[in-house]
Amino acid sequence: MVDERTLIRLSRTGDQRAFEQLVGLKREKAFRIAFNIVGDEDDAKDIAQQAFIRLWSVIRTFDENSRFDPWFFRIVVNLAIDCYRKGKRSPTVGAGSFDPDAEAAAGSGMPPRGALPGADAELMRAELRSVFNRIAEALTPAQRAVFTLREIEGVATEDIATIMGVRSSTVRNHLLQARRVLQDGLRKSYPEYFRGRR
Amino acid sequence: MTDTKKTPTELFDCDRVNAYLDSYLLDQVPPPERRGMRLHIHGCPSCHEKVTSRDPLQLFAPLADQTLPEDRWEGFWSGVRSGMARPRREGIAARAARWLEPAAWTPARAAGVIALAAALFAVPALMVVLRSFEPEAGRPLTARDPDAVTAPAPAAAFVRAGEARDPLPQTVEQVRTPDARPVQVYSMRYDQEGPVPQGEGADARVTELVLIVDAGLEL
Repeated sequence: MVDERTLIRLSRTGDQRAFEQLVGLKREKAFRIAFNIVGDEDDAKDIAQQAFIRLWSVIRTFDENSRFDPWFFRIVVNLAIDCYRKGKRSPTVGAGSFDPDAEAAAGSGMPPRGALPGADAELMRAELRSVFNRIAEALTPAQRAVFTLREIEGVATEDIATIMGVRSSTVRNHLLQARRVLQDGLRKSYPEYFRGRR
Repeated sequence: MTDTKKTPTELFDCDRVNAYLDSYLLDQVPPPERRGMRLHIHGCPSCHEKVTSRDPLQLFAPLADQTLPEDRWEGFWSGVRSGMARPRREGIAARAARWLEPAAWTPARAAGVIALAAALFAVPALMVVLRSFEPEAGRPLTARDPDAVTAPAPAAAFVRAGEARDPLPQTVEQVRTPDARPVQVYSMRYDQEGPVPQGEGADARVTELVLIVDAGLEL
């Protein structure tokens, strides 16, 4: 398999086969970031597709001396934030991994079935997705994007600042606010999950 | 954390997770090991309890391992490819950037741009030059000018009684006609009597009378 730098270089020259491989390399992360921001699988896939289409049209302008991921994920995050703002669909439903039992349990405030560690990982993620989508509704699009990138994807603060076009201090501020809101939401709506200090 | 024969997941047991828990929570564990720790933590009730009791939002960490099964990616690339083939509506900035790219410059385009720039520069320059060649006629005379003549102020009879009150201060300007004959221009403003028209300002009742006196004109 050709390495990422070569794929980027070839894509810049208009090589569609190289670009296809680059899409294969980046699509999971692009999708996941979008999914965690918009909360809907179909929207997230649309966003990832749009991001790659846009990437194709601007990849010639990419400076090969700079890092590709923050540059590309900026496109993804901006599209996801736009989509989330428009609120085309309810972000409360994780369509792809949606589990009716988990959703019903989450809605009733009862512990979701199989939520304990050791249960099937996919089912647990579906339940977590449902809980996250519910309490993340209280976040602004920027706060949700920062939390997703920092706490879920583990992107460095400086890179998030580049992705979002803001200063690092703004990223830290968004993260602080997001954590507060989510902790409050978790404590109030899902106390069974909240094992922190009360 | 340097055992290369084991996968990141296999590297971590409860003891090892405990040893690196502080670093994990401070986000000081490199990504591959972090993923291994995360997978262990969320599959182990006791480690999960420890982590979420220190940071409840670690509950959502497994969302980082979300992947779509291959069949859900069906049609993804074809969608991207059809979007790539579609002509995209470019913004002004993108079009300008593309237009300015060195590769897009042909000799004809360069010549056109130079000609346009020259024209843009030449028009104001030409106007300045033409203005400096205007004939002297029309220039206002000064009081010291020997050509300046004095003429009596126009009689108030020009203003019909009852239509205007006392004239406001008048101004006199002496100028030359195109054939260099001196004439006097009187400008007088009269304050009209009567109410101000509805919706108009105070200026609406001021009438200006301009009188040109040409002493050399034969009637």
